[in-house]
Amino acid sequence: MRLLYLDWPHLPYRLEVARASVPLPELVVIGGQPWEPASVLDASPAAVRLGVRRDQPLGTAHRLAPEAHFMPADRELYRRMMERALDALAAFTPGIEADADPDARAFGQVLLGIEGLHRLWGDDERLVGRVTDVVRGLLPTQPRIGIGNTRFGAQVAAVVGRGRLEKIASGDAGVEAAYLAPLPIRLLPADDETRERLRVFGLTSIGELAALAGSAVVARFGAHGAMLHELAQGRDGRPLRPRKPVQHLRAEAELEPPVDTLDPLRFLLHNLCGALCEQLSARGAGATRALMTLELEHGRGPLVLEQQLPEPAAAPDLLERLLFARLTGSPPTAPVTRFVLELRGEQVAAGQQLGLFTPQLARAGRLDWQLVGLALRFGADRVLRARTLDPQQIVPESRTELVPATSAPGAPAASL
Amino acid sequence: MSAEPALSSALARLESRWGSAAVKVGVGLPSSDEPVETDAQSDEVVSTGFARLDALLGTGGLPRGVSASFRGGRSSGKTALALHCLAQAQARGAIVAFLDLCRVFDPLEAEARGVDLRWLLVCRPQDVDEGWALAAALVSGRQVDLIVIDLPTGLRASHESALRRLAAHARRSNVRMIVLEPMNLCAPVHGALAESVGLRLELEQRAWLRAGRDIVGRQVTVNVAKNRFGPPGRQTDIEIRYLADGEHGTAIERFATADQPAITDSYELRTAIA
Repeated sequence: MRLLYLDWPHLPYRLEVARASVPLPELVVIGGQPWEPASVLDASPAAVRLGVRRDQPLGTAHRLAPEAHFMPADRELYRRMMERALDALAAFTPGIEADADPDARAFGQVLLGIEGLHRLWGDDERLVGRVTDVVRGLLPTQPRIGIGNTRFGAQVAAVVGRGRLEKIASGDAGVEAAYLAPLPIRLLPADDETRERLRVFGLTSIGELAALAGSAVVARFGAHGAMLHELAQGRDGRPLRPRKPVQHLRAEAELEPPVDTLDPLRFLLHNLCGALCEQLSARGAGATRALMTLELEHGRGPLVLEQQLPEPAAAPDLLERLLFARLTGSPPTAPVTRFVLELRGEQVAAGQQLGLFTPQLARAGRLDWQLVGLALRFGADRVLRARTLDPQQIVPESRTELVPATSAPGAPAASL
Repeated sequence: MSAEPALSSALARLESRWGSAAVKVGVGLPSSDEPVETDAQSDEVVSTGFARLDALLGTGGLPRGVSASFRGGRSSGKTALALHCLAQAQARGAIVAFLDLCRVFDPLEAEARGVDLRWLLVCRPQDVDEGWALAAALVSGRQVDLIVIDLPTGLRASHESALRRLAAHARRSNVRMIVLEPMNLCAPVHGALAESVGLRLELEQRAWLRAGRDIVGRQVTVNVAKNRFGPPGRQTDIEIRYLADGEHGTAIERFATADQPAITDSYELRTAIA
């Protein structure tokens, strides 16, 4: 199967550079401040050269790069930008494998199944040109692009291409293996110990590993070695796992005469939420984000209110209460002529594993809803959760911190 | 006349006056004043964490829907007692909140007393009026089972009605409320608390507990000034101890360090050429 691989390395860092109002320094670490009990999400290339790696504790990153600029990670922004790009790419093929979660290892990597798309989009070069045109305005940098017959082949082609389109000729595993043969063996996804052992054995290229007998590789390197051997021979059995499409549901209502109080809007919200949630429930999905657009009279610009929901939900009463609380906090300044409600949904998990010894977990979801409502009404900094940072800190204020209860990693629903 | 009918009639008179929980046939109070871990009971009653105090209250702790006030001066132990109540409630699956009107809440102390910070909400309103609204919203939502309100000293008389409404609201919503009452509250607020709550405890520090030259805790006398569920006017001594290595010991034990993650293939492939 022909696969197109797009890779945006260090995407969180690139997004921060793109949106920064002043140029960022050369050494940047994204994930938080050095004293926080969190880990590195991304780092600038200069910081990576100093040894900063993803998922390292921030304290360790600070020791490696003490002069780096540490900044918090805006996960919501990264997710939103990635989802927009994936929505645009979905126009080419439904076979897209990607993860919009910034904490996922594969964030910034997209795999598209392009088998049979030439009749629709032209040859490989034209297809890639259209794809890059679509994502150019959505993500900040040009991706690495590779086309191959297997997932691994496409990834290697992207790395080798260094920003230009690099493709492996269409064919069987032998074609793929011939392309991979002269390339350095460090391109294989081996752990450090295996890498060292390969070096000790004097294997420097992928072709040298592919030329070995499979039984010998298994005997020396076990199952992991067998997997590497398969990849070296151009065989990658990992299938494309298409991303489930995100549901977009929209309902709108014209208001004649225009409405200037909140009660009619609440009534409208009640009906729209009921209708959209029914559709979501029928698809087995839940809304994760809601967007209210109110067109105003007298030519004023529309009022757009976006609300992130604490969990995927298809309960109309919860949604209505939360969105009305949001509307109450930001009321329209002129009579409303049109009301549009959009819900963005995703597949809801089939079930929930509850902690055996943590009965509060069963209510964590409803608590999150209440906290979001309280944050809208009183402000995010009124209801807090306490976190222990370092009890042995000399300065008492540095031993603990209070963070907004609605902030993700701290909340029990997300912080367990 | 046999003693049995006389005893029965005496018990009946006592129960009619003080409630059915006033008289219990037991084997005496536990000798230890240390806070004890009670067996898992019905969530209808939340232990205070001190067995002697639970025995005094008649119900074995704080019943559901009750409002209580812990009154005492500085260092009287009312906050420590409230934190023990929070921990006991959490052990029974409760989600709890602390309305920090004085802005002195110490998470380390709470963790050392057994409070699970994941299921504790700390509310820091801008002013007292916003605090009442916030507490009322939490109670209305019915996701919080126990709320502790730390009252500041400078309350105005106008806060009396808000306090009454909040106590009534908590009672109707079946949410437990504990008010930490300082000694020098203004008379209207003090009176409102006295009338609104079902349980009033007055705490007074008696002595320091010493181990050699070190102070390891304090001995506090708790007087049951009002008890809707049992006899008032009784008192007991409890010991509030500091932990062996300071209040941070337990918190340090619970402080977890992150494990080093393994490097997986996709990320490594990116950096292979770099």
